[in-house]
Amino acid sequence: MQQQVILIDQISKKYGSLDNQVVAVDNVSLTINRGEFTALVGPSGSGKTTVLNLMSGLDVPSGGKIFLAGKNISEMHGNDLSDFRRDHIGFIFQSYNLIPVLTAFENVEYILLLQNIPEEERKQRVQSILKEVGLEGREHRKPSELSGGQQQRVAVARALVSNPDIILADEPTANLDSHTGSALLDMMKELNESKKITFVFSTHDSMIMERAKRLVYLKDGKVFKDEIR
Amino acid sequence: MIAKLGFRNILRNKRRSVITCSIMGFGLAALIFADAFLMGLNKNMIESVTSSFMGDGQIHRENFLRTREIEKTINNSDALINELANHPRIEFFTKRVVGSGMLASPTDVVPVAIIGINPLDENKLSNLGQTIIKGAFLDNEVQDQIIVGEKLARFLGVDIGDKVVLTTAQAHSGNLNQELFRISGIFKMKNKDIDSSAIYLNTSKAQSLMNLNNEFHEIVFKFKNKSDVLNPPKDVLNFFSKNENIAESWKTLMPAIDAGLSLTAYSLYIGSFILFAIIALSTMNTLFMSLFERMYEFGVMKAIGTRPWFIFKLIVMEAVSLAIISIIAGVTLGALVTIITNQIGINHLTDVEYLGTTIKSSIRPEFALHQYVIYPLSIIIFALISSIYPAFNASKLNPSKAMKRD
Repeated sequence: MQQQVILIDQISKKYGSLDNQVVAVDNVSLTINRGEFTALVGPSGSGKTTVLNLMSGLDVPSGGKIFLAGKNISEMHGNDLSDFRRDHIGFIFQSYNLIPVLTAFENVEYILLLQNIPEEERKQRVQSILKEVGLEGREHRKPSELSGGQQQRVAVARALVSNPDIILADEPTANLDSHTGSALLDMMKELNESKKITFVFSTHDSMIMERAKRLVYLKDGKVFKDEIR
Repeated sequence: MIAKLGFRNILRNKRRSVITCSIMGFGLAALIFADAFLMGLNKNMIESVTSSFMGDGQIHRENFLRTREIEKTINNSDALINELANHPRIEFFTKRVVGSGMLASPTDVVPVAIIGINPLDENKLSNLGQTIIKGAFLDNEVQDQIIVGEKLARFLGVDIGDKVVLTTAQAHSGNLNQELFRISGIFKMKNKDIDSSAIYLNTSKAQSLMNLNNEFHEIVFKFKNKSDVLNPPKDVLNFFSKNENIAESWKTLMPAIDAGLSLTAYSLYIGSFILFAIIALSTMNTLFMSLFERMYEFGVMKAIGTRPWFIFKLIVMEAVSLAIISIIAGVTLGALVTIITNQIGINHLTDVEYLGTTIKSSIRPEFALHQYVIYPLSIIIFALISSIYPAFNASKLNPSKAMKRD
């Protein structure tokens, strides 16, 4: 039996006042199982990023419930929610979003520091994950000294280092050239297959769609097709 | 990690950090120097007042200063003089006779204040002898000499060796008495009133002129300790205030000076407050600019699990780091300017008459511990306070909104 990581139960997200309301997500229900390599796809404004934000607790749904690792995150607030994201979710963003004043090593170590992991273990885990994403020898470079692809690899390492239940990636290849993007996706695919790490993408990049095992099509805030390959 | 992030973030926009630190650093340096300068000015003024003629304090018969009746001489003067001579906090004292009269030259006549002094004692207590610009100071043995102020001499058209007639009323009877004197010296105290209307002669001559039988109107004293000069001890003053005599410090005798010193202190407080407000607003502005620039970054930090309190501490740490850098620069600059001006002195105010006294020498800014403890601490406190609002804003950012780039 497959293990559920995320259960989304009839969530909706509405913006604006009653007489000028925009429905970004409309009654979406979805289950993501461990080890999936899923892509939320659809045109701009279809609600992909909003669903991703709701999944991670970055946004609060107007209705419905979201369970992640068995916890109802739509009812979490403050430090509880911060700690939950820190321990259970890994994020990869379109613009890499590393902390510019920290080195590659320190950016990855940052999450472990927040988790109060002892220094020795921290160093060992950061070194190991940086090696895994192919950044050995570039640990002490700042983001500005790395290429876009390398920065995104640091972001992947940061997302993976805390051993989260799921990695949420919002348009991770949008700022990369096709060669670099393809290599990054191959690396993520490899991690998914070898370590059973769960990935959920929000994208309209065909390279991701080609590699995804499941495609959830969104249009006007609704799921209109859920394709498992 | 917070310290590392805070410090590196300051170096991120060097120009802005340098400008902010300059505002705080120059402000602190200016404040330290202003305080040191005012301390030097106050010291100079107090010294000008107490060393000129006032002494650190004076004893009179009650109401003498108000009525100027020459019959109101000091009571029990022998016992009082004995007590003054043996008091552990009194360094020195001298007795004076004080009256008024008319001084006539061949060409004019003017009302004058007559002060009978003991020239030897007076020289130990005041700088009257050093203000002689022509002729010589009084001689204890020569009784028919007087010294007059420069303006008075000019007004009467007299010079050294010229004869003048002094007319005064005698005590008890009210009869007029006249005597001929020769001008032995002309002084210039750089005080308009004294230079134009005061004359000095020997005490015994003044006593005989006013028909006073070895009586005095005024005893002037100096304290042994400088701290007693700045804050005259009430117990000492009370001790000598008896038998209808009253002992008063320079603060009471020249209230304008004391009020003036308080005013300069208040001016400094107001100036400090304005400066600290500017520093606080400037720090807040810098932090907000930095916050808006890094909105996306804070959004990401919150998204990946950073607690709000961590972000709050990070912003506060950045403000405190800015303050510490500014303090190092400000204290160094302030101390340097104070050292230099203390060594060379500030001469621009010399001979300026202010609050009834004349600034006699160059002003030397003074060091004080509070300049290097209270002001820097205040900078840190103001920086801390000014960082609270931006820090609170950053800590409460909604990550999904903060990460929207459009």
